[in-house]
Amino acid sequence: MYQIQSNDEEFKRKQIESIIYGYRSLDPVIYHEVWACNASNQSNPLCEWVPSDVANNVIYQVTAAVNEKSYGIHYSTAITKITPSQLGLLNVEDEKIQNLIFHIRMSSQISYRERIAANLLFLNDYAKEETSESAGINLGSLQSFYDFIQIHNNLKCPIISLTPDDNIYLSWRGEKNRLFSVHFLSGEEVRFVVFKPNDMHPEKEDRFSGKTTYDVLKEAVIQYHVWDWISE
Amino acid sequence: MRGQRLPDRDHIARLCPPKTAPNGIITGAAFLLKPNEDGLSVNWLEFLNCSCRDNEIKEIRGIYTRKFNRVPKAARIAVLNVGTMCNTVFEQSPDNRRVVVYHKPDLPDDPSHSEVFNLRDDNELIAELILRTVLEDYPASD
Repeated sequence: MYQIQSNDEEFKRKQIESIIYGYRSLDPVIYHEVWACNASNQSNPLCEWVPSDVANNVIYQVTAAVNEKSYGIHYSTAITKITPSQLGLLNVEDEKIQNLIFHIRMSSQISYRERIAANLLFLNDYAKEETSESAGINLGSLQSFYDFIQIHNNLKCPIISLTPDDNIYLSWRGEKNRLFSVHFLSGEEVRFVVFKPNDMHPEKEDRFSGKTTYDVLKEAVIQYHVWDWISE
Repeated sequence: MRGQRLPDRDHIARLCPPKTAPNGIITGAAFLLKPNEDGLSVNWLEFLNCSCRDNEIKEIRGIYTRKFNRVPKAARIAVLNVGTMCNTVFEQSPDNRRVVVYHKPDLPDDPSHSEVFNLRDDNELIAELILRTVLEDYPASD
């Protein structure tokens, strides 16, 4: 586990909120420090254990949090003092989830990676808040979603939500009540829904649903011309 | 145990947690069942006997707070008409699904509790149809 050697003054400095608009950070130091460190050692990118070298080895947790405001995406850091007994709560699955979100954020080939990562962080927090038993986003579902958006890197940014069992649920809504929703199940499978105007009778609507795997989803819905309007 | 079937003219409210309503936008995920659920939990608004929708929503917020202790600020309340929802699902689902809403009080905290039955947990298409019939939505907490 990566550890940042620091002192109390530095902690105070780090408690200053850093605001990121798009790719531009107003306080790049802490983020570069945390993200860069993780890129090198593959540890949890959003949750760092920081020992103080002046406070009798008191351990601190630095957590990146995200709040979406009307003027943009707002990132902040929170530093919380924790006890050694809480160390056991660090969940391996949670680390994997955070790592995947980090990789999405850092993948230059993924469109809207910043926005998607920010939304996933929100959703993960909300899922964990909802019930104490929830580990957050279903890891298998998130992995499939990650693989999917790596394959399809020219898609418009979808609405990302979670199902009751914390699977990823994407929705694109287009003109004339077009809809394409994809439910990423815990394995490689997805269930999808397509609403579209009928080709011959545009006043009527065609509705389809099905199940396939994420890697052939595009082919499975090709007859409905979904990619024509969800791509950029 | 199921109670009275809700009349078509009446209205129901569905609590949409933030994970199903990111940035205040309710998605079809809000109307999916959990794998172990028999029915979709809703509240029967007319049962509350309030004078207007605003008062119904205030009452519903109180119920949620008592029942769940804490309701996330970003959660939404979706309001639907029973008849519109049932008819839309029947007419537009591939299997002409007949969903029904029954009163199922959850005493003592939630006497207006009701459930939408005849759904399955793999019903994304039905969930999207139900979403389309949402009349209005409100923040779930003040």
